[in-house]
Amino acid sequence: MNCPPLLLRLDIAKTEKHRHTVLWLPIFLAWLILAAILLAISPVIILAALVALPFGWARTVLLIIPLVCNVICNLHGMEINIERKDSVLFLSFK
Amino acid sequence: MSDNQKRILDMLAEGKITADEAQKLLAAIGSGGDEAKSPPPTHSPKYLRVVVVPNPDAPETDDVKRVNVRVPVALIRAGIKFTSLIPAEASDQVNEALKEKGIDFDVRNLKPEDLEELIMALHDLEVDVQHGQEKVHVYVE
Repeated sequence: MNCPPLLLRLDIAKTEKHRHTVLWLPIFLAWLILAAILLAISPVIILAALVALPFGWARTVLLIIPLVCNVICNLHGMEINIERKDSVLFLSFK
Repeated sequence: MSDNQKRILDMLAEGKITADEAQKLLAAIGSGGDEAKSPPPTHSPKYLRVVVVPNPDAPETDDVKRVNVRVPVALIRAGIKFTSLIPAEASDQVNEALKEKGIDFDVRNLKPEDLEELIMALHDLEVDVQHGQEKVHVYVE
């Protein structure tokens, strides 16, 4: 499994005011918090899977977290660039 | 010598075609053969790129937007794995909804084993849509 992106680069440029802001957000902190929350609620997830078992949703409840983690880990290299007449927004997962 | 080349030479020997025509046919077969022999791409595509630019044919407006999105193919791969979460009953509903939209496709057929083949096939993908004020270009790199 890949390492999740550690930083998020956010560029906001206002061409009218010639203002250019570059933010490097440490999103690894968010992953740490998320991991702690997941660890705390894991008994609840197991309980929910047991409740969902007769309805055929147990597999979904159990697999959703690993799959979401997989998506997060593969965010590396994702870039979004939106340019308008008066502003530019650039997002990049590093 | 291939069958086609032999057939052209036979036709030339029989006088059915002229030397010039034979040369043209041989050249055409040669170029076609080279294309067929070109090796398939060995490396997996890394990114899917979606670019939206103003349509050069459309009249200019003040609301000009340019969008450039680079999506890692690994992210698409991870997203497709979500289909394994769809319970059987939900799959039927999704299939029905797709059918209503005119898409005859069974989402249960989308298996992780077929994923690599699907991603390798993305090499040939290139979509160009010109509509109204925008021109959309989708390709892999």
